[in-house]
Order: sequence, then structure tokens, then C-alpha cells
Amino acid sequence: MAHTHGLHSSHGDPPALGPLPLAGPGDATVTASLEAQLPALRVRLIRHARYALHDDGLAEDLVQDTLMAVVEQHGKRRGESSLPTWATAILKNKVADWYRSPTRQRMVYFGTDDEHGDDAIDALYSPDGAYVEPVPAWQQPDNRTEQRQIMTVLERCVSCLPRQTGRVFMMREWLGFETSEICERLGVSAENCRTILHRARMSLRDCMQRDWIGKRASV
Amino acid sequence: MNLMYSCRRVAELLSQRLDEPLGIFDEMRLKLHLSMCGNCSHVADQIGAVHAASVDLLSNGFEHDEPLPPVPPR
Repeated sequence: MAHTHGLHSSHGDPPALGPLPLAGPGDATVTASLEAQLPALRVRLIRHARYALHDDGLAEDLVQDTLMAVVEQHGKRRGESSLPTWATAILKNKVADWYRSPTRQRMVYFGTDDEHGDDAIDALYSPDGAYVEPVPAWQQPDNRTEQRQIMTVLERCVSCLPRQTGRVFMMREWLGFETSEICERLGVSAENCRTILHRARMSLRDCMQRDWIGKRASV
Repeated sequence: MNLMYSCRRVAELLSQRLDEPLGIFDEMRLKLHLSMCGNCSHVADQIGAVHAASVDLLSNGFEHDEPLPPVPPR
């Protein structure tokens, strides 16, 4: 799929991590330590961008723009959040801008997901809409290790969402778009958008139940 | 009119409520159902937990160290 979305194109360029401009006099140490963190940061950001865009080339381009901004603005930033959190916020703005860009509509195929994958949710209910099996309560995580494990499982669950479902979920929960704006940007009806979000959340709940709660209980 | 929503409908409203305010009758019927249904109370907690954890995860970025899946050459 070709991308000509009007941002700095990185096609043919070496991957963003060559010699970087210094942030300014006296910042050489800071810049050197930033440079050392960029490869790992890039991997994190690409992962994130892919879930929101489901388009590898576009994700790489927006991450490239983000890393440029990170390098340029690093010297001016106040140290309130960690580097990844700060960089993720920059990426978020770039992805939101892309979704709001008037030129992007024709760049990416916005199809609907097939119905495959909804079976797991349908199977929870009897024909009259009651739960077939009793729903077990979830326990609070005991400690920070468990908390981190939950996040790892949740990320894997997010990565398994189908393309359009994943986009809508990320637009809502990460970019913070109102549902009316998601409908407008993706050309889906309000009812459809509601259904997609509901199915995304139920899929994640189901996935967490299976991969976290279920495994935890069996240990 | 059926005063009680089905559990399936309740789950839809629990999600919808995260995105937009419900009408007063939907809200009342939802609360009535939750007060009487253990399954739906658990699902309500779980949808809330998944939502909160997602927002947290997404604002901080993904940090575990698995390698990226391969990308096609450009």
C-alpha cells in the first residue's frame, strides 16, 4: 500500500537513528543518553502506532516524525513524565492529526471487520440474553509484578483485536475522540460505532478472563 | 413494557455509558438490573477495569520487550 500522506516521507531514508542534531551547547551528555534510548523507544512507539493505524508503513512514518520531535524538543522538556510517556503523547498528537487530516481518506482502506471473532461474545449468552455460565468475580492484583503482568496480557489482547475494531478502540481510548468524531472520521454510523466499541471491550474482557484470570487461578 | 433489560443489553449499556451519558430511564433500569444480578455486577466491574487499564496502558506506552514482528521490506 502506498502512502503519500503529506508528512515528511521517510521512504528510502535510513531508519531515523543515524547522527542526531545536538540539543544545544552544554547538553551533550543529555543528548548522548537520549540517543542511547532511541532504538528501544522507537520499537515501543511503532508497536503503539500499529495498533492505532493497522498500517505498518504509515506507523513507521508517524513514529519517525515523533522521534524527530523528541530529539528537537528534548532539551526544552520539563522532567515531569518519563521519556516513553512523553514521546507517546507526541505520537498521540501525530496520529490524531493524521486521522483529522482531510487528505488521508483515500490513503488507507477503511473496511469493516468480518463477523469472525464475535462468536465468543455471542456464546456468553442464552437466546433470551442471560449469561450461560456464572460470571466469576476478578480479584484485584496483589502487587506490582501482577500489575505489570496484567498490562502485558492486556497489550497482547489489544494486539489481537481485528483491524477496524482495533482502530475504533484506539481512537476512543487512546486518542480520546468522541464517538461522534470517530463516526465522522471513519464513516460509520453511531450505532455501528457503539457496537464496535462494545465488542472491543467485551473481547478484551474475554481475553483477560482467559489469559490472565484463568491462568492465575490455575497456578 | 418489559421493565428488566437482558444481561446482554446491560453489557451494551455498560460500554455505552463510558462514551456518552445514558438517558434517565436507561440509567435507572441499568441500576435496577445491577442491584439484582451478580453476573452483571461482575461484568460491570470487569468492563470498568479493562477500560481503566487500557487508558493507563495507552497513555504510558507499551513497554514489554518482545521483539517486533518482522516488517516487509520497503
